[in-house]
This record gives sequence, C-alpha cells and structure tokens, in this order.
Amino acid sequence: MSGRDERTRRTIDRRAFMGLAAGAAALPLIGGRATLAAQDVPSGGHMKVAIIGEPPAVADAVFTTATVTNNVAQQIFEGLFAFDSKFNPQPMLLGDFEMSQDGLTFSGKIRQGAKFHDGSPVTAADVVASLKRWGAINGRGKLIFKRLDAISAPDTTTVKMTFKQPSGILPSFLARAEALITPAAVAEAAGEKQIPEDKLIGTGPYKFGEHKVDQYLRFVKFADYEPRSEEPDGLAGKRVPLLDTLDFVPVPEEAVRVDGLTTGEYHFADTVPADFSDQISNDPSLTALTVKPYYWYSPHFNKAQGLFTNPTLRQAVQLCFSQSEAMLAGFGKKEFVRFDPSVCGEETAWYSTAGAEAYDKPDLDKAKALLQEGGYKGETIRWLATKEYGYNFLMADYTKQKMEAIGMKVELVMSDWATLVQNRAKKDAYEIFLTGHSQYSHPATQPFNDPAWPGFWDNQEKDAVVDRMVAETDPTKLKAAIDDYTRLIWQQMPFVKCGDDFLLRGVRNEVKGYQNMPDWYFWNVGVENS
Amino acid sequence: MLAFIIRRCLTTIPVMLLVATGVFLLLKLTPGDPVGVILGPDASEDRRAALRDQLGLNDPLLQQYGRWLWDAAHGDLGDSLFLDRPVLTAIGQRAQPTLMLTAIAVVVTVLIGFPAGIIAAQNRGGWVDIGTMALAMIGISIPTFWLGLNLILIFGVKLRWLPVAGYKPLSAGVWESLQYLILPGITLGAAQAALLARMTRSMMLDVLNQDYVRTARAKGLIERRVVYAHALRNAMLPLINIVGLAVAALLGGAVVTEQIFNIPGVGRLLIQAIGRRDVPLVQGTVLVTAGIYVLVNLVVDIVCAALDPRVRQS
Repeated sequence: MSGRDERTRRTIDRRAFMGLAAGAAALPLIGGRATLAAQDVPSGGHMKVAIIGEPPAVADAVFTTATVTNNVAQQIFEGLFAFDSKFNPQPMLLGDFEMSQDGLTFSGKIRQGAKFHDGSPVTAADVVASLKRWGAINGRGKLIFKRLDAISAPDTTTVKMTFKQPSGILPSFLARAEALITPAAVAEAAGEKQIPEDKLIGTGPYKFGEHKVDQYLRFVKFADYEPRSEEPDGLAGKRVPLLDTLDFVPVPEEAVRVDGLTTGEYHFADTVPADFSDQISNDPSLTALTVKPYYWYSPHFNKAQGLFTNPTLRQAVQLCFSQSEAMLAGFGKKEFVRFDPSVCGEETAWYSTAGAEAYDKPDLDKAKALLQEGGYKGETIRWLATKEYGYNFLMADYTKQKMEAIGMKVELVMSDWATLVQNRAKKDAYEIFLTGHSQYSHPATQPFNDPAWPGFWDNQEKDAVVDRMVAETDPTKLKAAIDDYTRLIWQQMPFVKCGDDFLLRGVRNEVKGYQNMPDWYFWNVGVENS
Repeated sequence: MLAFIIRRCLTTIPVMLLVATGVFLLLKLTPGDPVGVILGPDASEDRRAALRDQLGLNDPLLQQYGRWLWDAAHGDLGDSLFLDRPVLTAIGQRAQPTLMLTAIAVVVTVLIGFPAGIIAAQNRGGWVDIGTMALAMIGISIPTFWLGLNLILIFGVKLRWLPVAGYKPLSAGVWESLQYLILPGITLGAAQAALLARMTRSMMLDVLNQDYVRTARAKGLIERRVVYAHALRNAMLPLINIVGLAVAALLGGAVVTEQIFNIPGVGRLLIQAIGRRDVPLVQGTVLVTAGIYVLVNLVVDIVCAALDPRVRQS
C-alpha cells in the first residue's frame, strides 16, 4: 500500500471512528461566534493578545509542559503532524507518510516547500535531531523513545522510525506542540536546556521578533511561509500569516485583561474568569468565547502510603459526595461546567463512560458500610489545598463536609500552589490533593499514568491497558482499550472524576477569522483597521 | 562633612549584609518548588529532580548561601531560574518603569502634600483645615489596589481618557509614555501625599507658633512672606526627611501598583519571582531595593547635614 493510499485510508477510518465517539459534535469548538470566510479576513496590521503571564522558557515547548508556552510556541514552530478540529492528527510538515498496521514502522517524507525561518530547507536530519531532543526530555517523547528501536534519515527528506513494540499512538504524540521541529544545530546545541531566544527558529507562519520580558513577546510574519493546500481545519491544513506583527502581552491580573479588552488595548484576552461572561457578552464590541473541551477536575488519592492504599476507602469517598455539586461549588456558573465521568471530552475520539455507573450517585449508607469494611478508625485525612485557585479550595471544602458527614476526619492543609506542588510529590505528606487535567489529551498521555506522578498510581493492570492504548493502530481496538482503561479507573478509583469546566476568552469584534480551539492560534486571523 | 559621609557609608555595609542574610534564610524556609513552575504541571518527577540538580537546589544550605554571598560581593547576583538571564540584567530592564512611576508619584506627593498641609495650617480650625485633613485621612486609609481599580474603571474604562494598563518607554515619546503612568502615579502617590499633608500641617503649626514668626508679623511683614520666607524654610528640615522616606516607600509601594496597572517594573518582577520561587531573583531584587532605600536615606542625611550644622556635629 502506498503512503498516500495508506494516509487516505487511515484518515477515513479515523473519521468514521470519530463519528462513533463524538457523535454530532459539529464544531462545538467555535464557541460563541462563526468565523468569517478566508476572503473576508483582512491582511496586515498588528494584534495584541493578553496572556496570563510570562511563558516559562519563552516558546520552547519541549523544555516545559506549561500550556501558555505550548500555545505561544505553536505560532512559530510546527511538528510533523497537527490536530484537526476533532483532534485527529493530520500531516503538517509531512507530505506522504506511512504507519504500518502492526504499529512497528513509521516513515514519512517532509513536504515540499517547508523551510525554517532562517531560510534553510527542513531536512530529515533536522527532524531526527529535534525528535531525539523531544525523546530525551519530554514525558511523551520518552514514552515513545523507550519503545523505539531506531530513528534515521535514509535520505534528506525521509524520516524512518522502527519500534520494538507497536506504537500506533505516534501520530497523536507528534501532533502536540511539544514535538516541534527546529534546525538540527539548534536542537543539538540546546540538548536538555531551553532554547535561547535568538535560536527560536521554527517553520511556522510567524517567526520570533522581539522579547521584552513582562512587556511583550513579539512575533512577525514569516513572509516566505508556504502553506499547505488543504482547507484549514483546527490546527491542521492551510496556515496563512495575515498579521504583520503579533504581540503576546503578559497580563496576570484578570480584571486588567478584561478592562484592556474593553478599551481596545488588547484584541484578545485569554483565560477570563466566568464572572466576566455577562460583562463581555453585553459589550457590543466584544465576543465571549467558550472553550470546549478544556479541563476536568478530581481529588487524587495517595495510593503509595496511608489510608487510601485501600481501594475500598477510595470507593467510600466517591460515594459520599455528589460530583456535580462539587463542580458547582468550585466553578459556580452552570454554563461553564459539564457533569461527565469520562477522562476525555465528548468532543474527542477518546470519549468513554465505560464502568462509570457510580458517577454522581451518592449513597451515604453504602459509603459508611465501605468505610467500616475498609477498617477506617477515625484517622485524620490530610487534604492539600490552595486558595490560589478558587475552585481548588471550594471543591475541597465541599467534599470535606460531605466526608465528615459519614464520619471521616478531614484536615485541609492550606498553602500556596507552589508549595502544594512540592508537597504532593512527598508520599508521606498527604492523603488527598485536587487538580485538573486536559479533556483533549489522549488518555495514554495523562500524567497520572506515571507511577512516580503525585498520587502514585502504580498498578500492573493500568500499565497493561495504557500499553494497549499506546500500541493500537486499529480504531476499534483502540476504542476497546480506552473503554477498559475508563472501566479500570472507576473500579480502582485512583481519583474521583468530578466533572469538566470550560474556559472563557474574550475577543474584539474587529478580529476576523479566529477559530476557538483549546490551544489558540492566530494564523488565518486578521484585524480590521489595525 | 567628609568624615560624616564616610561614617554613614560604612554603616550601610552591615545593614546590607543583614538584609541579604535575612532574605536568603526567609526564602529557604519558605516551602515551594521553582522547578514545578518552570517545567509545568505535567512534567515527570525524574525530569524535575534532574532540573533541581542542575540548578543546584539540592546543595546544602550553607554552601548555597556562601556561593551566593561570594558572588554578590563580586557584583554577580546570579541568574534568574525562570527568566534564564542574569538577575542584574532582569532588574536593569525594569528599572526605567519603576523609576518613572516613582518620579511621578513623588511629584504627585509633593505637589499635593505640601500645599495642602500649608493651606490647612494657615486656616487652622476652619472648614478648609477640616476638609483637607478629612481628605488626607481618606487618602491614607484607602487601599492602593482599590484606588487603582477605581481609577481604571472611571478614567480608563468609562471615560476612556487614559490607558487602563501597560507601559511604553520614554523612547516611544514623552506623552505616549506619560499617559500610561498618570493613573498609577496618582494611585501610588495618593497615600504619601495625604501623609505629607498631615506632616506639613503639623510642622507648619509648630513653626507658626514660634516667637520669631510673631516678631516677623509684628514687623508688619505680609502673611505670604511670613509663611513662605520664614516659617516654611524652618519647617523644611524635618520635611526633607519625610520626603526622603516617602521616596523609599514609593519604591517599595510600586509592587502593588505595578501589578494592578501591568507595568513591567521591579515591583512586579519581585511579585512574580516570589510566586515562581525564583530565589536568586527575589534575593537580588530585595537586595537592590534595600540598597536604593539605604542610598536614599544616606542622601537625605547628607542633605540635612549640609543644611543644619547640628546634624553634622551629632
């Protein structure tokens, strides 16, 4: 089977699979407004985007997993693949590619016209060096490289990877912002350190311009960018740099982001509290955008040490409180939360509710019985919480009351977020902590699958099912593996999935062509009268 | 005079050493992990451990302190963990916004504080005095963040007279730059202006009751000359001290104002560095700020000594 045929077949198969999973989730991503047709989008001008803070490592998404860095990075860097609007990986820097059906061999050709911001063409050697760096320091990269037998560049435009174990997940991993391609010299020189600003050389529609820390990070149009020919679809397809300059302005104060948007200081405000939704919606010059899917939240149990090494007690906690009430306690506005037991948003191909019958069905009698069965003797349960993120404290406080109602003794250990992150890594420091995870990440890529990650879910059954999710190339078998994984979560209860929340963003109406994906991007976007 | 200056300069050394040690120990006692902020929430534990090693965060406390102090004594405050650049460079890049903001706040303080205090003293017990002092009390009591947010709401969002937030350097044009600093300057300077008004009133009342003022009036001098040429000059000495302290306080107070108005100055740098547990940057910023504080006080002492021989002799 030729590469092109294989690609076409896979695309059709994946889309059919997506249909099964996502149903009629037609463009829920474009929250709140339709996008203008490409011919209506103005070209040239300047756009200012208010972001939540200075991105760690500027735009090196391999070095850090911070979301803001990932989003910034994908304006200037590209990977071999990119996600379409339904989170299917589609080729970006690749032309033809082939993933063998057994998931053991991958080869692809770099698309014609792909070049770096310094003018040099992208070669297979650049791809190999970049992916080696990704494999050395990024969590997902490491997972792939553990399975890798060899990566090579048989000629200047062909990349080949062979695996010791099937790795069908590869395109999904390579579609993430972190699997970025830089010139080989840059990747090799950076190694495990972050790429210096003057070496932020990618292939994306914008290129690095200037960085004044805490003032702005400026990208400029990459005039020699040669877009793909396919229609734009999410992050995939045709990318056109329409803006002359694109500034990311760190604005940590939420109210200032909104005020700046209102007065026209900024064209786009990222991550706005839901409390501002009416203010933005009522302003005729602004549009409120809801990001679906976004994050889901759960209290994680310490499974390495203490009370909750016992799954019976974990089940007792899950049954003693209403997960939907916990979400409302944390996030307030009903239109910004979704009550759902899946660890992936319903908009994705990985959605599953298998085995989640107990979700949001509190049963106090059963919970008390489980508590007794699990041998709970009134020990104090230490719950690490922070007020730095309001939801974190509010959800913890609500659940604490419910746990106490069935006879558990809970102490909220309050600290700032940085301290909480430090303490949750200590096996003897707590019993529960609460955090959020992406709804649009492949379940195999969730950090809690790593037994060393806080909560310490160290379990052979879990490892086996994660391995299946990583290996499968067949969509039906992948779906079965995801169902088994979800079922295992609800059986073993390493955490209690409470629900999903959606993010609010604001955009001025002079901005045209913007598509509201969870990870924002500003190619194919223009600003009127800028 | 020279001996006085040398003596005052030497006393700053133990002060700076104490500040440096205090800041270092406080930060080390504070829990929190800079690596978590740098690498993001999904980073694996082995990667975090590797970066901690790379940054020297696992070294013994004394070793870390000794290394930092030695480097600081040689003018090297280390590298910011988060910004990946020398601490002094990071501070230097933010000096202009903070100095400009402080300068505008000082202007607001002096232009409002002095006249208000003098007028109140001249009209002691009258409605002007009561009204001015009531306003001063409100000015002292209003939290900076509340005043700032309301100024933004009124003059930025509603009236659209001034930008709501941000900063443009002087190189962008004087008005371009100044318009971003007017609201923050008023926010920052309001409390100090109120304080200065109360102090000026108090000093002026003391002086206006002195015999030489009565003599001046008895000689038939006009009231303006009595107040400005005789009373004010003698009230100035303690007021110079107060203005000096106000400058130092404004530098410190810029922390909150810069955060509210999104001004990329030293104060905002410090706040962010604390949140990120960027220890070298916090240490460096506090040390430099403390140094400026000490320097301002030194200058005030020298000015006072130059103006009043009694200070030199003490």
